[in-house]
Amino acid sequence: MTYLIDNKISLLDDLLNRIAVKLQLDQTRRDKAETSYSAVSKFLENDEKFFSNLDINIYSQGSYRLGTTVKPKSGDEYDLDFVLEVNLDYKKYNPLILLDNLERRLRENEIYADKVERKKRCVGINYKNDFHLDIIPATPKSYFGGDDIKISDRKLLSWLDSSPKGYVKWFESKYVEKRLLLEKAAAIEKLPDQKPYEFIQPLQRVVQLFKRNRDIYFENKNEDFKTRSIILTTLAGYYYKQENSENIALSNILTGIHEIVLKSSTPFEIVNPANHNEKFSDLWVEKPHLYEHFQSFINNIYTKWTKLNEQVGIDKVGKILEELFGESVSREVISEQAEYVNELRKKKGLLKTTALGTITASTEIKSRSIPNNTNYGEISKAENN
Amino acid sequence: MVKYQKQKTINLAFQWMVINKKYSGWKCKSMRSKLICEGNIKPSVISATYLIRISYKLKESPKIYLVDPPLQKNFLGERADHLYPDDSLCVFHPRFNEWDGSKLIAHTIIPWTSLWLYYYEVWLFTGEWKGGGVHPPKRNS
Repeated sequence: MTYLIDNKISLLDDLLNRIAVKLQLDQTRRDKAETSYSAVSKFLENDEKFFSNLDINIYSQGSYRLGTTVKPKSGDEYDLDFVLEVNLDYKKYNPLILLDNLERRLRENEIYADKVERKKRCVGINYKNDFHLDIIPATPKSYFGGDDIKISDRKLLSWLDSSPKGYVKWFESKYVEKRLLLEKAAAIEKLPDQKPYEFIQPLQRVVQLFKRNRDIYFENKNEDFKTRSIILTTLAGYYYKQENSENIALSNILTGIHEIVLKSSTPFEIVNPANHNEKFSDLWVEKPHLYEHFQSFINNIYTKWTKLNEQVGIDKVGKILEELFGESVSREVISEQAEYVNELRKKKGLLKTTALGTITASTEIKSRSIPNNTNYGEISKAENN
Repeated sequence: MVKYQKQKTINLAFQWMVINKKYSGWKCKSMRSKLICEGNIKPSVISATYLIRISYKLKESPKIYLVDPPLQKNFLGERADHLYPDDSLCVFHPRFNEWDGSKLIAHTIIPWTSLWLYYYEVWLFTGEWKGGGVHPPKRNS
């Protein structure tokens, strides 16, 4: 097993990883988000009108918590979700009590006042060019805490079940015990000291890629048609079988989803695995055309993914990546991979060729390494004139 | 005893033998002082397979041609930079002592051609030649 070049899977996986890395929340924004949410938490604790008498706890959920953030296609702001858990006996209160108090309190602060946005189940704080911090107020279902919470909905005017912590536990239970393949291969070989990127769980990468393609697919369609991230994440987790390769994992996941979509002409139910009362697919029942859009989206990505694995030629593979994930990011990662191959070349004795003339970094092949050379060129007369 | 002996020129039969030993499916033919070899190179696992012809006359530099699929322009409609006017591939610098008759084609020219093809595929898609190298500045308008 070698890192890159002589294994189709890892060569593609490397490109896929590089794409996902380019799209995820960077460390600077991550730090900024951490600072912002602890400031919000402190500001709420000091609210004498309502929150100061209650036990409050803010924690992250959704893609931020799962490590599956993807840069939105339009605009530059990431959506980061937080839960504001307030310990009160929800049955005794109007479902809007938390939403209203949260909004009121935030508007009292100069910093937040013009950034606050009232939403259906949360209050958003929009940090221009960075992220939307969506705070979902909630209360534990049981007095003794636990993963199940109640959230409220402005439209339905009721308390609803949710379990973001339970969901995270479920998602993480799907992880490969040890994240290997690329990591192991990288350690075995005398790779350049700097890791090309952070190795995270293949399932996290797969969800990032899946969501990115969703954004590309729905780009020129009505924003409301877009399949929810939580649905994609849940289906990916459900069909993920601990594959080490992002490419194989997503192939298998898409095969699974494609099959069920073919079988179900009407919407099927997708629930929070940690709390079946939380139905992620509830909108599909209300608006069946959303399910039809989901079906077309799945057919599209399934076909393209199959094609990706059949293509030969880096230029041809690049074209499909472009269709799947966008033009500039695909060109960038193919260039970066070539630069990485150059670094391997600089490490004397690392690159060799197989019987097919294929460049390899394998330690198993007993062969001479490729000597240094310089590509040279002369311009033809015709071109000079 | 001479300490620094001039490297001996490798004869064509030996060049042929090493190519056949190292690479599968290559065919060679030698006529007087000229060796012509053809074979497939797949530069990376996600690359296409290219039929390459190497034509080598003793005391001259080997000429390398891409036979099939033929050379293409990139998405910007540009011709690859590292080519000679007759469309043979420039895989090494003629004045950098990278090649001489004491070197084995199988250990130099063929791996360099493979790298060239890898950078060629990248260039087709990105328009950037990542393989480094030098070439005279373009003087066209």
